[in-house]
Amino acid sequence: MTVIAEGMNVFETNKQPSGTVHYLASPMDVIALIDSGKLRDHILLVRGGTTTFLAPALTMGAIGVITMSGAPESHLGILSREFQTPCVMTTYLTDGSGSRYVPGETGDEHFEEIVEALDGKNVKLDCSDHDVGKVVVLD
Amino acid sequence: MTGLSAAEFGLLNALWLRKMATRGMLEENADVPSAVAEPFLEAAADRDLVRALGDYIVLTDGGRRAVLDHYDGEYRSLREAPEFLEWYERFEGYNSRFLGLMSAWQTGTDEAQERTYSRLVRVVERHVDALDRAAGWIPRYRHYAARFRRSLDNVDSGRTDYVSSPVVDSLHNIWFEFHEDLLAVLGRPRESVED
Repeated sequence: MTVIAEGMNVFETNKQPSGTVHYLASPMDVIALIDSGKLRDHILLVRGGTTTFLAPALTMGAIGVITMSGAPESHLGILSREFQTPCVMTTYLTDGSGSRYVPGETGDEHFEEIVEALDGKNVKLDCSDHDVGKVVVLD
Repeated sequence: MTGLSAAEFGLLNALWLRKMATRGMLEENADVPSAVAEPFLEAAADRDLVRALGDYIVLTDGGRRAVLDHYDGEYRSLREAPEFLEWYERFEGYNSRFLGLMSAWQTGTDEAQERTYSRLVRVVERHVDALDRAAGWIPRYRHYAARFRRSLDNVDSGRTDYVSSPVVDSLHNIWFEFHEDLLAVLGRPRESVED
C-alpha cells in the first residue's frame, strides 16, 4: 500500500474509511452526490478548509474528507470532529511536484495537480496519528 | 434588488447559512412564523429556488443567487463604511479566538473543558455586546444575539451539546452562520474564499 498524500489530521481515530475519491467543486456537486445515494462510497475531496457547502454531506453521513487548504481549527475541522468523520486537511502529494499550500500565495495549478492525482482513486484514510493524516492508495 | 421581502430573504438566507434544514429549523433561525414561512417555501419550490432533499430543504443554484443578489443590493454601501470595516476587523480577532477555543473544547479533558468553556463564554459575551453595535447597521443581527443568549442558557442548565453540536442551535452553529452572513454582507461569500 502506498501513501499518495499526507496532511494535517483533524482528530486521531482508528476508523479507516475507504472509497473512491470524489472531487466536489460546488454546492450543487454535493447535492448531486447525496441525491445519487452513493455518498458513503466516496472519500470527499474539496479545495478549501472552510468549504462550508460540505456541511450537508457530513450531516448525511460522509465517511471521510480530504481538503487542499485550511486548518483543523477551521469550521470544517470542528464539524468533522463533531460528526467523527475522519478528515485530512491541507493535503499535499507525497510524490508530486513538491508544491505546498501557502495561504494567499498558492496558484490554481497546486489544486489541479492534487485533484488530478487523487480524483477517482480508490483510497483509504489513515488518521491514527495525532498530527499527520495519510491518504493510502488501495489498488 | 431581487424583490424578496424581509421575511422571504430571512428564510432563504437562513437556508443558505445552514446549508440544509427542516422547515421548523428555518422558521426558528429566521424568526419567521409558520403562517408566513409555509406559503413562501411552497412558492419558492415552484420558482425553483429551493428543493427537498430527504427530510430537509436545500437551496438550488437560483436560490443561492437570489440570496447573494439580495446581500449585494442591501449592503453594498456598508462595504466601504470605515466604521463597519473596523468592526469587522475586530470580529476576526474574536473569530480566531473562538475557533481555537472551540477546537480545544472538543479535544480537552473534562477539567480542561471547564476552563476552556469559561474562556469561550467570555468571547461569546463580548461578541454579543459587539452585535448590539452592529445592529445599528444591520438590525436583524439582534436575532443572533438572542440565539447566542439562548444557547448560553442551555449550556448553563447542563445541555453541553449546545456548545458545539451540529444538530442543535449550538454556539458553534450560530457563530458559523454569523460568520458566513458577515462575509456575504462584505461581498466575500465563503464560496469565493479559499480558507
